[in-house]
Amino acid sequence: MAMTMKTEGLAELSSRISRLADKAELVAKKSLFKGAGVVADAFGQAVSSIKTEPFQGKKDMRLPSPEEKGALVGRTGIAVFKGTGSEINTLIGVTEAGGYTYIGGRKVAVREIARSINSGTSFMQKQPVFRRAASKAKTSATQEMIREADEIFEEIINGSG
Amino acid sequence: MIYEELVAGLQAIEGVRFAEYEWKTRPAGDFGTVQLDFEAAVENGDDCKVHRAWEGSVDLFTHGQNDTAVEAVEDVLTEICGSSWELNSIQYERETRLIHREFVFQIEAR
Repeated sequence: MAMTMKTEGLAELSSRISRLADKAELVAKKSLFKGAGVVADAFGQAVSSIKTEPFQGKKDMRLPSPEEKGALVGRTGIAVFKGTGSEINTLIGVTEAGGYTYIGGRKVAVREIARSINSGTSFMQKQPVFRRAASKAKTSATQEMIREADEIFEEIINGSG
Repeated sequence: MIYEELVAGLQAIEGVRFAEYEWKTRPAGDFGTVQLDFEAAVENGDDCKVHRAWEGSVDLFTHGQNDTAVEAVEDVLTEICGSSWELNSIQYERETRLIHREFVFQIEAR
């Protein structure tokens, strides 16, 4: 049995498909932004799970002080997006706006505090809260990126994007 | 358990003392810690966890570059974890003048 298929409006469809290619980078950036946002939110929540103890002077092994933990509150987020060739990257973590803080009268980079807590030091027990948060948020971040990309593609194909 | 093999392998390295999780008192020479951090992946089947992977870390603290110790740690990780590990960071601690290398690995939980 033979069947004939007829398609109309191919020129319009073709034009919309070509717009997909033009907007590919934009779609990738918007999707990455959505996914990065999910991980950044998880990082924000991770800060609250950091265990602390009051600073009791130098000792062989200690937990972060409440001041060190406090320096990270509200300072996690998404850093600048950078494109290199076919890749689009961003940094999620303690933002550049995190800057410096003063702990016990000493100027300390907020990122250094975050790294010390996440990776530990020879005198501070590690609490890999950011690595754990990134791992746990990976699936939902990927889903969010796919959902965002689908939504933009749909807008372009429907002619509203 | 594979993790226990990893701990034993690290503790057998000459010239570096390894403990699980932490040292209450910092050793004088080069030293390290190994620990499991969290469940990194899981495959479910028949209402139970069929396969699980842990993510963990090895922290190596050396007073100098100590390439021999670094290579020994990497050899143990390769032997036990295959290619499922990476050198996550290298930091210099100003306070103690130690070089801190953090290796992150994933290992099958069984």
